[in-house]
Amino acid sequence: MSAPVEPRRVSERLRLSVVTPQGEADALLWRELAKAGADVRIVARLSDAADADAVLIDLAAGARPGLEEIRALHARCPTFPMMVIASEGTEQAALEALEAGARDYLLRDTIRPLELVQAIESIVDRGRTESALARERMYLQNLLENIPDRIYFKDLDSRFLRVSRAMATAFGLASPEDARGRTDRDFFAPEHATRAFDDERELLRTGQAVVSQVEEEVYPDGRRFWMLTTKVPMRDAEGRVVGTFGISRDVTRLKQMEEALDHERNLLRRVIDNIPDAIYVKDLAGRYLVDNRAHQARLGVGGAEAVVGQTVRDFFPPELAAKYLADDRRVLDTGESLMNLEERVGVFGGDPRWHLTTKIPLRAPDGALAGIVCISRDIHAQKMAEEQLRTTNAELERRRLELETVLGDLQASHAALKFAQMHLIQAEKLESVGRLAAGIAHEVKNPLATIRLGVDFLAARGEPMDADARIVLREMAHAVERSDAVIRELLDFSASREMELADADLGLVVDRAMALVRLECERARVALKREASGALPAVRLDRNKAEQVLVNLLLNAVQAMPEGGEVHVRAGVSVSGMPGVVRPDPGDRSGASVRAAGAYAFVVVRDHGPGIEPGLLEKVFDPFFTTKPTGKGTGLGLTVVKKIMEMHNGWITLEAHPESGLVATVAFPVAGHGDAGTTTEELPWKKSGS
Amino acid sequence: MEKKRIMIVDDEAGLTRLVRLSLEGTGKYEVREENDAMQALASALEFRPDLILLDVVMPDIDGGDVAAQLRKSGPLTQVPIVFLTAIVSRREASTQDDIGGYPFLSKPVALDALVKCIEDHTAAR
Repeated sequence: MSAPVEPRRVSERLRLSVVTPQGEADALLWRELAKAGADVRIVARLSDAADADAVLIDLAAGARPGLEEIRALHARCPTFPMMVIASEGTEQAALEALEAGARDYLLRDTIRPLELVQAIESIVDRGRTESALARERMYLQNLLENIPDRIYFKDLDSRFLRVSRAMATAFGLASPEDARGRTDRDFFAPEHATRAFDDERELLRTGQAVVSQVEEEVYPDGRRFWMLTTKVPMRDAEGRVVGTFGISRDVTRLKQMEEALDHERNLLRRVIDNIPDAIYVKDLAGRYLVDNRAHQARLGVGGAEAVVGQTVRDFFPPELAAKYLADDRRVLDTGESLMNLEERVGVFGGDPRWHLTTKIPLRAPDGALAGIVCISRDIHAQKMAEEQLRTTNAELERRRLELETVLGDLQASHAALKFAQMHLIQAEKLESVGRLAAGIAHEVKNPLATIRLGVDFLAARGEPMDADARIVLREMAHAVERSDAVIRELLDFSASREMELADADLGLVVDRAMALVRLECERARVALKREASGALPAVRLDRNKAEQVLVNLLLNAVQAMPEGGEVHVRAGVSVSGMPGVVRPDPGDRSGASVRAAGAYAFVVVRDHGPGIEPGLLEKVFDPFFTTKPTGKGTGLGLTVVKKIMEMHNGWITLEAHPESGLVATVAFPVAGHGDAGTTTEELPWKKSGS
Repeated sequence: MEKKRIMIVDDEAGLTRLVRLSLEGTGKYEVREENDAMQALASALEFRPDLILLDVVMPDIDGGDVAAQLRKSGPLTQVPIVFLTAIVSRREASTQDDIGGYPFLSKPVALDALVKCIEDHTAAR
């Protein structure tokens, strides 16, 4: 059996259960109760009295419910009316039932049905009302006890009537009861309490509720809180204002968060407004959502209001707008960023400028595309500089290629010139040796070359050859060499009589001649030794011819020692008569053999070969006279040397000592002392040795 | 190993033939003879020698002029040229390897001297 939920409506009939023995079911009493307005149901036991508004226990007729049953039912539904009908003889049972929880007992004989029904009705109604009241109280209690918000009820003087536990706690009270009769002034800082009081006055005056206001609460100890407050006039059942009530929520944290967010938003805004690059965000339809000052400047507008909600079509000519939209489309379709695109962008108030643009898809937290973020940097200046550089480089490259071509041409011409020079050298040669000698040399040497190579060719052929054939070939090779040597000497001999004279240091000429024959000396294992000479005076000579002389003497010295050895060279100056060792040529009538005494610079070349027999010394200068083995010398060398020395107004002497080799001396007059440029004088000279 | 290509320009056919036979006989060279100096440039451009032996005194044109032509010809600018000359004195033969800076061989020349000169002036293959 449940407690009735709603007060019984007036039109509803009272539902009455009657616990009575079966036999009494038809009793008149029940019919009369029914006539009086009740729906009567006869039940055998108390537990069957379900859903009734009240129950009658007919003790008089003999019903005997258990006392525990009654007690239990009463405990369960204290407001459930249980009436006992008693008669004489059943009073005791009736009293017990009352003690167990029944409400009242009636004497059967005195029951007046109509009054009974009305009485029960009023009891039931009251019970229901009490239940309803208890229920309402339960709701309010739950609300006030448990909700974290502060709820209060005040009277017309702004005194607390009722507060929620949360509020009591906020006030530092042990129980909400302790707030009764007190005011804001008891809990808040004075200026706050005053303000609140004034607000309530206003509220009461206008009858207008204040809904969801954010206001600051200040406590006497200085604590401040932000509260979201609603204050409403409290009306009674007649609608008269009897006080106020309100609910406040602590939104301090929320407010702080909001402030922090605001701060951050402002910071971000300041940042993007300070960045010189244009930054903007568009939605999926291409409308601007957010942009920065740089972007606004580019568009030529003063603020975001002129931009937000618009599209590129509102700012740019159709072709440009179409291009931008196509770029946006590409980003959205592929979901990929467009990075560092160089493009010309329209700029308000000027010509399009080069920009570096990056477009990135904007995604919602769940990953879905929500729009595009774009950042665009003006790189016009750099781009112009780049192009300038490119042009300059292209120009430089062109010049470089031109120069290279010119250089190539120059190099080719240079090479050609050098060869032309060589041509001249040869021409000079031809002049110097004379046409005849040159002609002979050429005409003889070419056949000799053929023979030479022919001999080598035959010798090199793979066919087996007998010893005689081999010897023959060798002899032929030697014969060629001899002929070759003769022709060479002839060329030397035919050298022009023209001399190029200049002052020279004889020591240097000696050095050069020694350098020229160095290789030959190494091959022959001959050591060249130069003895120190001290300072030599200047000598007028033809360098080439002087070198030729010395080279000749040195080569002779080397060839005199086929087993190797040493050649000593010494240069020096002599100022009085010379140790001449050669008798003047009797056939020479020129008088040139009579040497002028004076200063000479000389060179002595000494070898350790076999020397020359004294008897042959005078023949040595004859053309084609040679002491060398057949094929080794031609006999022209010394002839030429002597001729050259005579041309210099110098001379040559040879000393021969079979044990110690040959000593050859050449002497050049010192400049200014009867050298080649001056006429000779005949002066007596002393001959020593023989 | 590839054979080196040698071209000899000299008006003496007997000589050039012997040069060819001798050098080719060593197995190391392939030789082109050119007896008409006026054709030397064309022959060289066609044969592309690794070294050119060039006589100096020739009818019509001398070795120096031929060398100048070769040097201006583009592809042959770098080819080593060795002059063969009859006009060399004893002194020059003993003491010099070049005339005016250009390597030369004096006639008559022995085969081994010729081979040595060629090897000295061409890169190894």
